[in-house]
Amino acid sequence: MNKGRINLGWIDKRLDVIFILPLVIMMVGLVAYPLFFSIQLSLTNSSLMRPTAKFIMLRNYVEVCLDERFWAALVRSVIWTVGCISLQLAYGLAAALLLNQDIRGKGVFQVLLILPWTLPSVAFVQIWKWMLDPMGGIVNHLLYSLGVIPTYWSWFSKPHTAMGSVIWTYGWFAFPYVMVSILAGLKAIPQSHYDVAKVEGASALQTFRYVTFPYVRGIISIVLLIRTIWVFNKFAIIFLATGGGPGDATRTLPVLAYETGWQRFLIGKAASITGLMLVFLIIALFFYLKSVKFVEE
Amino acid sequence: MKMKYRTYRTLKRAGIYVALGALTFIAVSPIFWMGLSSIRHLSEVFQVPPKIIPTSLDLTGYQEVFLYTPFIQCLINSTFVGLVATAASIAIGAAGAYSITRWQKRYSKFISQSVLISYMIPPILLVIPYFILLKRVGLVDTLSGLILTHVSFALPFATWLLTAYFSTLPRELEEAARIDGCTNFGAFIRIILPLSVPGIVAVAIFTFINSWNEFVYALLLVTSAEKRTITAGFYSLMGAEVLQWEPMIAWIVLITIPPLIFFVLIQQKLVKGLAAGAVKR
Repeated sequence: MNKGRINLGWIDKRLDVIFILPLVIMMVGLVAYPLFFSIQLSLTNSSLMRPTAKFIMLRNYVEVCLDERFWAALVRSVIWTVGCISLQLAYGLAAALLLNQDIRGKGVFQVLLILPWTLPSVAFVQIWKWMLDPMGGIVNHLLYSLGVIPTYWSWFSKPHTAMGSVIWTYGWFAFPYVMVSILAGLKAIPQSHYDVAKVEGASALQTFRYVTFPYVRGIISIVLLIRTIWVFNKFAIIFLATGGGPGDATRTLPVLAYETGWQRFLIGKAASITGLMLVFLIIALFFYLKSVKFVEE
Repeated sequence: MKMKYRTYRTLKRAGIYVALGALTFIAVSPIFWMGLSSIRHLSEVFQVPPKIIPTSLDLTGYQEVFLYTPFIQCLINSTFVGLVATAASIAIGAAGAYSITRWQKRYSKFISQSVLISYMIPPILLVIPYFILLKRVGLVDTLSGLILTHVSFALPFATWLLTAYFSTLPRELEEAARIDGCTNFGAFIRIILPLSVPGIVAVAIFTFINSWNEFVYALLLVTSAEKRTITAGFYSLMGAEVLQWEPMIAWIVLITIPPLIFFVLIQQKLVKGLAAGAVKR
């Protein structure tokens, strides 16, 4: 036996550690440390206009909490999140329930329904901007000729429809994720349960309430939590569609953090806003892990 | 009575088709509309009232996007970033996922949960520290820096799906291999990897699509025009003084096609994988 072989044998015995080490190093370097660093950053007056930064304790957090724009953005974030989640859940649940029916051509419908989810954000936001365009967008024309709206409407640039329009745009993109997850839960329901319900003479509504719903409740609550985390922190859609406008109609917390960091160059303060967002995230994650445990048991 | 039941069933079926058709129409028609708009004359795109079926054929948008916009450069950048980020994530993720499923040490569960949580950290929370940290090591405004940030979401995702995939493979295979004198490493290379090719390919494609579609890091961490990806490149086109509609529509269609095709190819597997993940976790 030569020396190389002995060394290899030692490596092979510790392969469990050696195989997982790169993963751990990457996750610490790319996620854990940057998050820690972000918190550190939020305690300084770091700015992109200044080479040095001073430790200023919690002053950024105090200033942010005293700023009414933060609270306004938080309220908008909540509206955005609740709106998006309701739309995605309604659309996704309806699609999943329909796809779970015993009909021909399901597979084709399923592929087509997933398609929106594959589009890059720049693409589908631009598509909806064009479709909702006041100068000849197809949706405006459709709604106008059906008599729903009295005149072509500038959906993204009117204060009271901007939020609804971005919620719709994101819902259109994201519902397939909800659909697929719920569909997986529906597939796990044994057919015998439905047969019993039929024999007992349960109505469609009763069957849903007492057979279907108890099965998918766990999955729905997990999906809702995951979606809440994603939607609450979603930046690209609003940024691309309205940039937070018109005025401040769609300026949610991620947009506020972006403006603070990249337009006003106050990177330390921006980090304190995302630091507060991280607190919300940790609370949501706590509930997520709890509900996962609950479902597993 | 029987007749009545049959009509009820027919009606119910028709109702399902109508509802499913409506939902599908809403999901697909915008994509379809975009495709049509890209091949018709611009005057027809914003015509009032709009025409559904094109009466003109005009491909100047596609011509212009290649000749007068940095599309090809962006395409090369996106492909490069996507390929490297995917390769790195699959290599590191497969090794990590194998260690987690094969040995199930005390730390394995902790690591796999941390990986899952990492996947939940949204870009907007990481982009600020990334910007400063990449600046410090001289990687801001470089494709290498962008690749690292893409690995930050691609790696947890790949690890998570591959962990689920490996745990479906029967343990006996490896045990048989080891009795035949295979080392741990040999068993992984000769038994596990070949068996996992379909799963790895699906995960790789999905990882690549995620990187291809990524926008926030590409926008905020890269500033030079020649290093822009297809998404950031499109954004700079949106901000141009004179809006060039035709190449913009063509650009959108061209960057949408690869994920669309790839996705249809792997969708069965992906839906199953996501389903397994959703049920299990």
